[in-house]
Amino acid sequence: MAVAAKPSQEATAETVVQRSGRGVLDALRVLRPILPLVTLCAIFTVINPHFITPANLRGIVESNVVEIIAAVGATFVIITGGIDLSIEGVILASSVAVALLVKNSATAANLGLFGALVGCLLGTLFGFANGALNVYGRIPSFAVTLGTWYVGVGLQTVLQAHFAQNGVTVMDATITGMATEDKGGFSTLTLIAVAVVIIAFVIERYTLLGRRAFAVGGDEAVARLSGVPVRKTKLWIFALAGTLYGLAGFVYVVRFGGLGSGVSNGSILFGVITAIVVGGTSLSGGRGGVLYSFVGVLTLGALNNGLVLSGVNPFYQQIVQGALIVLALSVATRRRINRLEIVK
Amino acid sequence: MTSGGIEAQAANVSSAAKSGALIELRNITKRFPGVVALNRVSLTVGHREVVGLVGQNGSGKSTLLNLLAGIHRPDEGEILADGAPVVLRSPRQARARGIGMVFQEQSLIPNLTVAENIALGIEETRDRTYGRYPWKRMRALAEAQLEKVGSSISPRARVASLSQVEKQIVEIAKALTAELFAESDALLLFDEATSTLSQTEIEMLFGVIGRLREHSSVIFVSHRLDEVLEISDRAYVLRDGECVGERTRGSYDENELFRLMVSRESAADYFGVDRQRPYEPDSIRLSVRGLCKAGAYRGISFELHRGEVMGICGVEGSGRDTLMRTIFGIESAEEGDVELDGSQLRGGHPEIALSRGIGYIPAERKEEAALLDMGVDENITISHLDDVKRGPAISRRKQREVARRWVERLGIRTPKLETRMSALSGGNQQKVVFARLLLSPEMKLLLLDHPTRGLDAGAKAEVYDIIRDAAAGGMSILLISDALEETIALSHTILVMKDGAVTGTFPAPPEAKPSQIEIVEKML
Repeated sequence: MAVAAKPSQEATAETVVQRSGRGVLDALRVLRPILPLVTLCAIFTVINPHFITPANLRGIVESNVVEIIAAVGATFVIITGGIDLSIEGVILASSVAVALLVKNSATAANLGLFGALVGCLLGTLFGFANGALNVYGRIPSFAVTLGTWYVGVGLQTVLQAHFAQNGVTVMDATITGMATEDKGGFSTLTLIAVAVVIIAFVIERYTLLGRRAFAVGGDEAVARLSGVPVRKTKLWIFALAGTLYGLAGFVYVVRFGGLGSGVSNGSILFGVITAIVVGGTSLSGGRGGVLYSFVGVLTLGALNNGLVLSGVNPFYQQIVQGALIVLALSVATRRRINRLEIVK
Repeated sequence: MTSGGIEAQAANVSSAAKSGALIELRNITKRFPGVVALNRVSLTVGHREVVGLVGQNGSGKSTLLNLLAGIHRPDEGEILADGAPVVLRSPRQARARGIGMVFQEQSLIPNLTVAENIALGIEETRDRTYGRYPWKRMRALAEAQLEKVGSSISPRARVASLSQVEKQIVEIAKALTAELFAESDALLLFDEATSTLSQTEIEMLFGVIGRLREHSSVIFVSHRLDEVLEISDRAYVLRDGECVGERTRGSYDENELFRLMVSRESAADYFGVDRQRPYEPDSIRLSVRGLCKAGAYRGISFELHRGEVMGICGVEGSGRDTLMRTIFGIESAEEGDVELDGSQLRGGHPEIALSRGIGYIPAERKEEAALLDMGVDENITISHLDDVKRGPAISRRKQREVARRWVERLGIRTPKLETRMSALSGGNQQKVVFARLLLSPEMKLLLLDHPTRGLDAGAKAEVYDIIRDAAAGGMSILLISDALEETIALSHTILVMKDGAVTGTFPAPPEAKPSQIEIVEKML
């Protein structure tokens, strides 16, 4: 009897081990996105202890408020399985609109915080346009948002050419104060960024819109067959993302106290998308989240900051950055893969 | 047909409390561009009745289910629910009538929880939630649904972490949400639900269907006749979009149904057992000695001869799949060696195995073998582009010549040589994959991992022919298949594995095939 029972006991024990092993792996999987961040912080602290000081860490968050808000917006779109390349265009269009509507050096307008609202709404408009063209126009999100990126940049160029050829300075003290004012050690902009992350997390986790975004990104056909309003979901997600880019545009203006005569070169866009991917949100949809992206932005921010503090020659910084991003990604996304599975 | 209807009604009256049909299809016709998928098909499903639907791929089974699930709409004819005509415009409307479908390709979203998957699309149907996701209510709902099928899977588990059969159970629990909307009994549609399950898992599924019968009706679709016969109260046979037969439980004759389904004589003929040629016992092709891999298999030794087909039987986890993948070099063994034609084969390198004349047909044809977006001709020649070159460039003419030869030889049905692979049926895709391997003159050994999975009876028979011809031509073949009867019929020798070790070896000449029971005893 004992002999006969043995194999089945063994089998059960094996299953249990596999199961619990899987549980531990699952837990590690959740923690994995912060691994690169923690590692980087440790390395940079060893090189230069100044890195870990509260003032420096605050500075890292502070200098990435625009990216944080934009990354949160784009993460939603990516979760639905789409891509949003209009991030930078919308931010610039919104920022110029805000700069010209609050008290400034170029126009007579003085709308105060209402200007911020207009910036957000302009973003919402862009978002709806993206969503409508994607969903009802049946144009791939990649193509639509590539187009609206340029429209946004163009809008900025036109407005600046018209009203503020030599740049514009914001002169509303309440608004410029948001970047410097100290509230428990943090600027108002930082608090806004953190609030956005928290609210976005609630949307992601506890609303129909958030959960449907995951369902759509996980498998659109299944979602449709199950009665999920796929098109409505995508439309609203694009609008939500656009609104956040609009807000990011406002934050952008506040941070720099106005706008120079700069032109888009894609640096915000690629920074944000990189941060999202480094954070662990899958570009194929259905996987990831805004907290991951928050960590992703901080990881890239820590990397930039740490390289400067480590005294790396600025000429080499981009090369080091690029190499470290690839390294971080390969660590973050490492998993046991089927040897026949091909990574594209 | 009329007498069939009366028979069916009689069966209903006796087997269920309610009389009359739950769902009735009357003279349904459905056309797709170029084909009549269903031609004046009539069918009834009684209350709490399990109705089987058999037929080859392309016979119209899936189309019929899709009509009931609201995915397609009939061109002619009508659907009646409890005697009143209904129009099913969308899966939502079908669900509102109490019709739920368990899809052939699993339809769960892997990164969501079990609860979210079960409740997908019905979060708001009972109460408005004003945008909030009602987690608690959804978890309770999922739990209640899972309870109906007697499962204790946690609603909080992520679907990706479930086993295949657990996913199938969640899938059923999800389809069962249709019951929440049904005024009368619900109707569950199972579309080839067993095609990716192992035998024990199928038994479990049948247990679940048995429970369902207490409160719902079921239409069970499969191209495996034995399964349909086991589970159904009544069965319809479809062929080429027409209903060619209806039988009540008890009046089943497997061979007769088989004939109706494929218009061939019997199962033995079907497998072509009489066409099995003896292998060459003096010419050893593959010699495996003391092969071990921790956690997968141990002490595996066998010899495979020229022209021999060897079937490896075993349940999932017996190590047979890993063993096959080791011989091809996708996995590595820790001990032991493999010799091909008397010289050692270095493990762990599929490209070496290929160059030595070993071909592998993986179970996941779509993911691992077929280039779906490329043409049939390119798919056939892709491994031997050197042979179709003219100078440094690929010659389309040569490529097409080679492809045409194999399309004719294996009877691949494709509109054109350059038709994309994705437009072909599963059987024809599989034949293309065979052609790719067989066209190499150096090919000596084929490793077939479930070569007939997902194929209909007709396409299977064609694959059997290919295997027999290849073996008769001196090719050696290792075969893994879940269908035991198929393995027994095709093989010269059967190797049985259990928990990583060989537990039995059976010679299987045409005149003395071992029985399924003998083999199953060694497997379990």
